[in-house]
Amino acid sequence: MRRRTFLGLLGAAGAGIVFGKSAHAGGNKQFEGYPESFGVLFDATRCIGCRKCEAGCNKVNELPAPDRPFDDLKVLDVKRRTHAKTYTVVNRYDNIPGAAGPVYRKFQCNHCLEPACASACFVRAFTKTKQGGVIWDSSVCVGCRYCMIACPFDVPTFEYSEVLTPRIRKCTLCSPLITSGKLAVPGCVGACPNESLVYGKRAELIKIARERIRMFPGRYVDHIYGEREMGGTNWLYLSGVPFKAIGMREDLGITSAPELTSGALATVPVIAVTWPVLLTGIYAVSKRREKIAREERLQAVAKVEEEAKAKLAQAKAQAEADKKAAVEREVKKALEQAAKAKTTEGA
Amino acid sequence: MKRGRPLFRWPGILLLCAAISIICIEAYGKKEPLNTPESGRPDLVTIDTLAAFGKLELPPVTFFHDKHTEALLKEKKDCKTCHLVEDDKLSLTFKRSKATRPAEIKQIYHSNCIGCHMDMAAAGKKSGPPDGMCRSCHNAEPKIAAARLDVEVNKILHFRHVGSKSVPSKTTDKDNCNRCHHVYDKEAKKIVYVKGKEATCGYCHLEKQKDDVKSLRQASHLECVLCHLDLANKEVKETGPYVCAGCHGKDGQVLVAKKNQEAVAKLPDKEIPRLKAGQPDFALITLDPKLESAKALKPVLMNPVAFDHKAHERSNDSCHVCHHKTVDSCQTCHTLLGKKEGGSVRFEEAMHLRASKQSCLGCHGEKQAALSCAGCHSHMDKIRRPDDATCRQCHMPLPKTVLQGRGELRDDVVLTPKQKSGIAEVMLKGRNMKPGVYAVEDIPEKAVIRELVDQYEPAEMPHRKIVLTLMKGMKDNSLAGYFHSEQGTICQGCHHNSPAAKKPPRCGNCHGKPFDPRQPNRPGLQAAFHGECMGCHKAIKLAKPAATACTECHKEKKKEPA
Amino acid sequence: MSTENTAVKRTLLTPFNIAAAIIVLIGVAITFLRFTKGLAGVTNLSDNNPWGIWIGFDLLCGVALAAGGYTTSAACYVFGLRRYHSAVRPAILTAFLGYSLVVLALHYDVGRPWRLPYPFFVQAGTTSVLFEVGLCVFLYLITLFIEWTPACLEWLGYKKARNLIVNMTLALTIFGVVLSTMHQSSLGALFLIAPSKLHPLWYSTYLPLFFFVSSIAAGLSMVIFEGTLSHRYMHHKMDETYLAEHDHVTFGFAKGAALVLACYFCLKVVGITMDNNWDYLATGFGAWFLLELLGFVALPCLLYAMAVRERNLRLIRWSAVLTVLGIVLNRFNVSLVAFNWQLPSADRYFPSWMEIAISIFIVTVGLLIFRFIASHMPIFYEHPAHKEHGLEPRPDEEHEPEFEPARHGFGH
Repeated sequence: MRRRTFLGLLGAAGAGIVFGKSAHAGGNKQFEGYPESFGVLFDATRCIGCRKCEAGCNKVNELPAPDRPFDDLKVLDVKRRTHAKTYTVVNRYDNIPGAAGPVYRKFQCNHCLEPACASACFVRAFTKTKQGGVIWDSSVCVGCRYCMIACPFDVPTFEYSEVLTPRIRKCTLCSPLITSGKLAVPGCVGACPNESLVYGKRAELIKIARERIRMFPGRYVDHIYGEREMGGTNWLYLSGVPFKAIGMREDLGITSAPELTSGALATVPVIAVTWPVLLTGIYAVSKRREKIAREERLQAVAKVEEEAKAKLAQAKAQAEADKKAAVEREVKKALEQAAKAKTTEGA
Repeated sequence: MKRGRPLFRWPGILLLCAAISIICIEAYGKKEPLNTPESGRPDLVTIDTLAAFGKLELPPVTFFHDKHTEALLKEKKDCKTCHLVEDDKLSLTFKRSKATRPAEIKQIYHSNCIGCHMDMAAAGKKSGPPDGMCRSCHNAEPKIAAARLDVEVNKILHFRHVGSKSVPSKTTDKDNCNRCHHVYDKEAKKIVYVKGKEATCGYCHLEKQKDDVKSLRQASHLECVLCHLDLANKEVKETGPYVCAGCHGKDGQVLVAKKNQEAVAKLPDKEIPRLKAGQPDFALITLDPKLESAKALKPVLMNPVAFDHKAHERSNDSCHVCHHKTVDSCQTCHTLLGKKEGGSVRFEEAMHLRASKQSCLGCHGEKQAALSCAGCHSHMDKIRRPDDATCRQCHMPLPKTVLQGRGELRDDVVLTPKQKSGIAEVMLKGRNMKPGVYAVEDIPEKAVIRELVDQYEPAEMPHRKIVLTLMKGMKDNSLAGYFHSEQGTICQGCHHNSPAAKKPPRCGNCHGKPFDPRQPNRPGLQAAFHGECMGCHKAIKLAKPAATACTECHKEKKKEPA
Repeated sequence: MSTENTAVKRTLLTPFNIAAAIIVLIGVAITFLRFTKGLAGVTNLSDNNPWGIWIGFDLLCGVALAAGGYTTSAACYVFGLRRYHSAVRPAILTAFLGYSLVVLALHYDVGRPWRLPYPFFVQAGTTSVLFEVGLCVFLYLITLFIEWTPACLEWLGYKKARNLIVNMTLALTIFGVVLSTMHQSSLGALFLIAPSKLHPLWYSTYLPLFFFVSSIAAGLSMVIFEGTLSHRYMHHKMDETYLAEHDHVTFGFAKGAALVLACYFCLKVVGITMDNNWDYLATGFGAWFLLELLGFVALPCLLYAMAVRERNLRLIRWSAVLTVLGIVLNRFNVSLVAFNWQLPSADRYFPSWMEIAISIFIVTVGLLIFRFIASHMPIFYEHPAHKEHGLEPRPDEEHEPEFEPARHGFGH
């Protein structure tokens, strides 16, 4: 019986988790982004792959010198990703059907409206600034690298070769430099010779992107990448070829990363509240049943005892009676014998 | 454990399967889909006749037609080996004229194809797959795909047929139009030749067979290929191709193009004679008062368009570039308010829609994509409304001789086609079709761009050379010439968004600091220079100077000694 | 005297000890490397693959396999299944060592291990599932430690302290179950944030549920497995109660495991159904998934059920091994194999020999500590001083007749 109870309750608990799985703490609220948030619009039809953006970024962020200089365009022969010494790379994509020549794409942090890294960091080392950039705070980072797991664009890089102070490295949208007034636009944007990168308010950039698509309908794919991907990003892309062809994932969906885990997290306080009650209840029930079983056992034992006592008393009484009867019989016999003897003597 | 041993058997087997899976099945990353054929052949015919009867049991057969004709040729066999003759013509279907049941069709294919293969193999010759190797023909993932180029009967090819002695007229008529052209007589239920109604095959013969009307593919093969075959059998020296690759293959089309050019070279003036279809030299495009929709309107005409039909015939490859459904007037289907036959496209849209290939503006827009035009035209946005001067270059006022009062037509003027043609001719006379530009002395030789000098020396742009190159690119192009006849027009390719003038504004007059929130889509000065120059070079596919070769346009500034 | 010495010498140089010594030496050497050359000098981790087997095995498998602690103590104290009592202490010890070693492994993996307490004491990232995992593991480690101390205190002879803690058993157990539920499921929830990186057959909104349910099965099987090993190598430390209850524990847990595995199997099927991922089963990854599901979930479930019916202890023990391997396989699949499945194989991760060596090292350290504690402290036996009486007699026991044996006393 008890085992079944245990398993049955387990099933109930499981069912509870299933149905409670999408418990969000909060109704229909959505984050539309800070209104004054800035972003960058990248136009792949304009980019010529000159890598001046990489050089500009390297300069303003005082990053270490690269292995090969920035004007070495042979570097584009292989696809690269960022690493601990670069915040951004440009990649070249050849032989795309429908494109007249190679298409270039710049890879860097997309500064999501609701960043996965910020949501995932368990020491809140990431901040989505009002300026729009997502920045990392080295003073609390533990180096657990969950942000790297969480980022759908595989952006953050880690200084694996540092022993004592390994840092997470990624593009900051030059947020500290812009906020302090040292720069007006991010280093890469300022270095781009033909404004393939445009810096401005995110809302404005979307309008600009839409206008460009409208003005040149044959030139662009009718989609602003980053408008809604992963809940929206501050770095927007326009392209003349399908985004998949230039190495951008088109299957990420529009749900922001925090929304993906908020359901699971919302269940936690519920468990913390209900489990103790449930478990105490089970304990109490099991204790109660034990107690009842014990009482029943005691009762049964008492009953048997009583019955035994009664039987014993009865047997005793019977024995008494038998004894009495026997004694009487003997007495009667003796008296009869005595009487008989007396009669024989008297005659 | 009494029942233990047998019970261990099944778990043991499962475990063994699991172990084998670990060794054999490797979980790779996402695979690319298969089925990217490595090459293409024009003669690949996919035989899926039975698909009309339901789901196929085996994949369709990939059949190489030219391969078989070549092989048969070696055996001195001809088309009749596979194609039956009916009504004096070869049937396009394989060894049958009227088989309709699937079992019958299947049997015809199998017994004939495989039979022939077996016969050839028995005779010791190279042959196709024998009996039993089903998947050699019913190939699910063929490595070769069909790569057929479309065939276009343009005016030169048409002319070669018209002028050919091997294509005689069927009647006493001198012209041999009746050899190919026909219409369908609904009452007589047969095809007849009607003079004056010759038109493109594609008007009636559509992509798919509709009732009794053969598909374009069937019709063209019946007419063209069989005729060529006939002539070849009659040992005529110059005849058209009758193998697949001859028309649909790349090499075949190159050969046809070469022959076309040779034919043109032989002509006087190198000009292809006009098609004799009774078309006008000039046309006045205006709302036809005779047509239903215009009845309610008074004949006060807006400036109509005088159309040089003759010149347009010269510069297009065939009639159906514009006359896409019929040679009749566009307004037959594209009425003022739109009709079902015209796909609800209204008359104004049919003339002006930029996304269309047949409309006036659409076709002109396509011409702007040519390399000599694309430098400027590629970065002009497509939604901008042309200014009035451009409209007036087509919409010209009617000659005063036919007007009265406030621009109404004179009461005695009746707009017959002949009259319209005459009016159009008058309107078109004396137009300047040559591109215009300012005097050479007035065009600066070099434009020295000194603004923003920082890392590089000022850029010295060969301004005059560029302008004159652009002019050269328009030399024999009357379309370009007419619309650039005004002197200042060509300058506006770069000096844009400003009125045409001998001294146009400097770029820096409008382009300043980048990312100006008041002008969100206007590039800053540096991006304006780079975008304009690099954009043009990219559009005209200029290899040098490369966009990333900075020093080819402006030299590096030497660092000043400390 | 001399015979004693030689006896001692012989027992120290057992094959296991020699192997363990070698492993520990290598482990110490690699530890030195790790903290002089950084992660790059020791691991194959990269920017695309930030988590390797130190997370995939040491953290995920370590936590899952240490689930025996909460399952056993819940069964015994909350559900009142008193006859599993002797299995509680070994299970708690396994769990305590397991979690401690998880924290030890984290010190290797994380970039700045001295900052591990930061999320709790400096700045809390409460939007993060990892925060919740960390907090629960932290609290649960303390709970387990407290639950383990009675054994230690009995060994040391501190009766009062020991009795105090034993009084808190129920509260600690409930707290432990609550914490375990939360962090076992949160380990699965860690991967909810990366749907684009995890293969659809393994990614599901039910990931937390999958991890939680499978941890129960893992815990039950680990108790059986650990019991088997202990029986073989620590038999001399076991008292009558333990030995008498041992088979009962094995059968009981096998039954539970069979049911939980069946439930887990059905949940996995539900997971595929809800996202309509059936087509993926026909791919290479699908075959791998089916191997995990059929060979390591359905098969042990079946075997457990059969073995319980047949009263076949040997089969139960092998099923326990199979289940444990299945859980390890599942955690590996979620964190390493099906993770980043879309990257080209050149960019995929495979652990370096040094990472594997450290994982083995950590497990060996755990075994050595387990052996030490189990040999010296009352884990497999009841301390004579506390054998007959529980601390406070239960109210209804006062009237118990004499012949009722007192071995169902409350407390350890």
